[in-house]
Amino acid sequence: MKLLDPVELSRISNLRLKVNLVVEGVLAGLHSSPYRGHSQEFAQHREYAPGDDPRYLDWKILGRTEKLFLKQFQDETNLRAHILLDSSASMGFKGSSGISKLDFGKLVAASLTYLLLRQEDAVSVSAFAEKLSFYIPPRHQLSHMPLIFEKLETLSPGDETSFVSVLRDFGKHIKKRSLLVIISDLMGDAGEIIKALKYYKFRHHEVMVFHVLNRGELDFAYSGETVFRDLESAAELFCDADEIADSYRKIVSAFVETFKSAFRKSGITYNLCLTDSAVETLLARILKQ
Amino acid sequence: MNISFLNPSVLLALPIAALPIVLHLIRKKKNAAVPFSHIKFLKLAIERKKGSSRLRKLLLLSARVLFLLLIITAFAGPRIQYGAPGRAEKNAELSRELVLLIDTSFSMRYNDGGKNRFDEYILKAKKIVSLLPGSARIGVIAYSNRVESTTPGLTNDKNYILSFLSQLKPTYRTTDISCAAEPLKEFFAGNSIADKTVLLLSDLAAHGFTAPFNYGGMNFKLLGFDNSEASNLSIRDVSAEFSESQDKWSLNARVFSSGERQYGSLAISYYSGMTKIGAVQAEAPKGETPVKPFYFKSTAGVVNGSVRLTGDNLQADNCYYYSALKPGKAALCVIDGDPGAGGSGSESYYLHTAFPEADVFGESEAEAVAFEKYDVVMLLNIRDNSDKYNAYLKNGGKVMVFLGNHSAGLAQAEFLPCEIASVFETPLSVKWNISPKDFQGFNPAEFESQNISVKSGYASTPGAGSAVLAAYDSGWPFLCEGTYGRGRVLLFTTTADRDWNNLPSKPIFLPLMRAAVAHLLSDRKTAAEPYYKVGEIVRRKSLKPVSITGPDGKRAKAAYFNGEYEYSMANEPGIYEVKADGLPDEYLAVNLDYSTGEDALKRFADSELREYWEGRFAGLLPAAGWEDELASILYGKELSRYLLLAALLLLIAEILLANPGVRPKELSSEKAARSF
Repeated sequence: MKLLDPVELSRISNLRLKVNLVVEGVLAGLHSSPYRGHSQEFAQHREYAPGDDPRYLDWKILGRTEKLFLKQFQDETNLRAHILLDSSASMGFKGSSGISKLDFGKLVAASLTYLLLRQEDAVSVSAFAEKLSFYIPPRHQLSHMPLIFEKLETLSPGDETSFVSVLRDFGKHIKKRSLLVIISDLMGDAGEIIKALKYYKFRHHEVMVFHVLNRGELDFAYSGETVFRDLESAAELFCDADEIADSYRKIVSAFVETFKSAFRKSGITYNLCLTDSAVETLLARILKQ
Repeated sequence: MNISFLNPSVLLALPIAALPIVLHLIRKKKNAAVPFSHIKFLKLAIERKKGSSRLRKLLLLSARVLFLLLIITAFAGPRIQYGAPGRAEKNAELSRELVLLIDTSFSMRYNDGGKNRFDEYILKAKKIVSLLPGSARIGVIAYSNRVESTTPGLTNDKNYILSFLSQLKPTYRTTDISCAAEPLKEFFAGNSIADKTVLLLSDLAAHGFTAPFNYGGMNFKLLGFDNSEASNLSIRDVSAEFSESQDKWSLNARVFSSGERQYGSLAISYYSGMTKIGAVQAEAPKGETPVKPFYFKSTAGVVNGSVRLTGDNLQADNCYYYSALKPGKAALCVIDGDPGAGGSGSESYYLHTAFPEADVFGESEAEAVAFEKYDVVMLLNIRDNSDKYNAYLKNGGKVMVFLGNHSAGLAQAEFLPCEIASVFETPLSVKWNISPKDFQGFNPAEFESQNISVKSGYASTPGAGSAVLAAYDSGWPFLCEGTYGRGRVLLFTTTADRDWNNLPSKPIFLPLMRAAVAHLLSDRKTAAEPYYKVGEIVRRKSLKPVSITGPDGKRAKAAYFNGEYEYSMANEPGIYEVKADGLPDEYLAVNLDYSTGEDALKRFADSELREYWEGRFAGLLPAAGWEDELASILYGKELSRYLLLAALLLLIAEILLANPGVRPKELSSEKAARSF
């Protein structure tokens, strides 16, 4: 499988096209692996679409009507996924990679949406900064996608993050047991974020976190005396990058480790995503899980 | 302690040292802000590094400022001087007053390889003058054993000083540094500044520091140039002596070798005038060594020339000049006690054959003879003693006595070296005790001396202080030598004719007689010895005024008064020709003065020098790299190189401080990705 260079991908403005490329890559990488979580409890039929696994073709209907229908099972059809994309100002950070965290998050969100909708799963997509920028209720039809793509494409970095309050309020949108996908750089109070997400887990929701970071944020590849401007607060800070680099890296490593450790303990799926890594690889890995 | 700067104007650039601070402030303001996702981690990191960061920044800024300060200061040529606190502030000016004391003695002609020391030191003096700043006041004193020349005083006219130095020449005089005290006082007179620098350009040979230096309240810093102690050969005390018995001249010389160098065999050449007349090989162990006499014949009444040796680095003392007059014929007088027996076979006959120029008188005529005209008086078989003989001998006369049958009356003579008893009449042979070395080279064995037979003579006993030069078998003296007053006596205890012995008929007779006369005259000066030392004023009697031509060919009239001429221009060794109308030419041999040991180049030890200068001696400058050392002493120790070294260390420190973080081998992102 040829991986898509995220930078090259970022040059493609059409999100749908990008998502197609990503999903094709994901599926190509997964063709030998069966989807998991397929229940044996039949739910309904749906028309075959290219790319569907032919093993689930209903041969009887094919024999009778010469039409291609797939058998769908109960669990699959019941999945509701709520994708929350952080669009705060800090997500607009590109660093030297050329792709912002928000763009990377958009791609992940869109690709996931497409994959889930292809499985007839209901997908809800929301974006938030200080508050929800938009909320698209869950639908399982593929026709749902243009709206989602349109919203995502027009989404731009917003204000400061009020991650916890947004999560707290978002609960009202989740009526049934769902999959909650958080795509964020988690720039906020770590304890509060973990606490808020644990709450959803406690409520028997599946929680999956895509922790999007720029490689520059981890490696801090700056040198010399530099003035840094906070993307969220616009505050400026003068410091000697060389001098604090080591300390900074330790702090960021601890920050990442805090989430990873806390989420592992809580059964929350945690994925550290660097914006220069291939989205399809990331998604493929998650699907294999 | 005082710090001075060779280029103080460079210090005007010191404000540049503040550049790092200014740049730091400017850069902080002008740096474009870099967008960053969230600065909360940066704040945390800064908080953690706050203490060490401030210190590091402070150190870094200090290092940069100090680096520039050191660089600028180094280019300003800082020098540190140590001295008494009260004088410190004046040192820079004090050091700019310098007197060059230049040794022009003949030992400075020593050739150290290529150039003689004098020329080397003149070059150094010129370089020193050129190194000094324009404000420096300089004086020069050239000295040997006297002050040769000085500048009129201290001056800052460098061109004049350089020209003055160019005109200086090494002399042939000895060294006596104490003579420089007076002109130094004149240089320093009326100057309120107590300290001075005196730079001594000398080989520092010990012979120049024998007389005490009269400071007269002067206080100065003295510097010398270190130089290696040299070995040296010189030839000394050449004398020309004429041997009347052998009718030839001998040149005698001594070689002096100082230092540790072993010369081995030396070539010594002998010159008559400018013509080389011979050469010998001689040894030169340390110290003084006499050289075997060199013999030559010359019919001239005056001989002059030189004895030279080759092989060492100080040529000036390798040549010694001589001049000698050939002695005139000895005046002889014969007093015969038996003149009646004259004719062939008489005593006076035989002696006349030996000395045809001798004047012969009878004993009765002796009272009328003026003995003082004669070099030797021969008394032959005389009857009576005379006070005249005693007086002659007391005044340094020489007497040769032959006893005979009339001599009984002479037995009581005081001047005889033997006590005479009776006449023996038994034939006896003669045993010779003569040493040729002590008897003008006469060797009896060469003349069939064993055939001498004496049938009659006087039995005698040698007196106190007398020497028996030949004796009979019986032990009685045959030939005895003694002194009386300032005179000398040779006594033959037998006759000078064949009545009592066969001596006159034997080949030994003539050589023995001539050797005996020469022996008696051996203490007579061979010649007038007009030997003078360089620089010595020549004063000699002359019947007429003289003009003198020196070895350089220049002719000058000597001052003349009261029958004596005076010549004060014998300033170099050589033969000086003295001419006067109607008088025979005269020659003066002028040589170096070795009395002070100028040819011994033993260098004064540092401790001896300090002792001589009574604590004023500051130090010796090394032969190589003396310029820096001199500058250090005159202007203080040069600090630039240390400052530059410190600046280099600061630069290294700055690099280390400016780049504190070493990138981890594994980046955080890689680590995170791996652990994920």
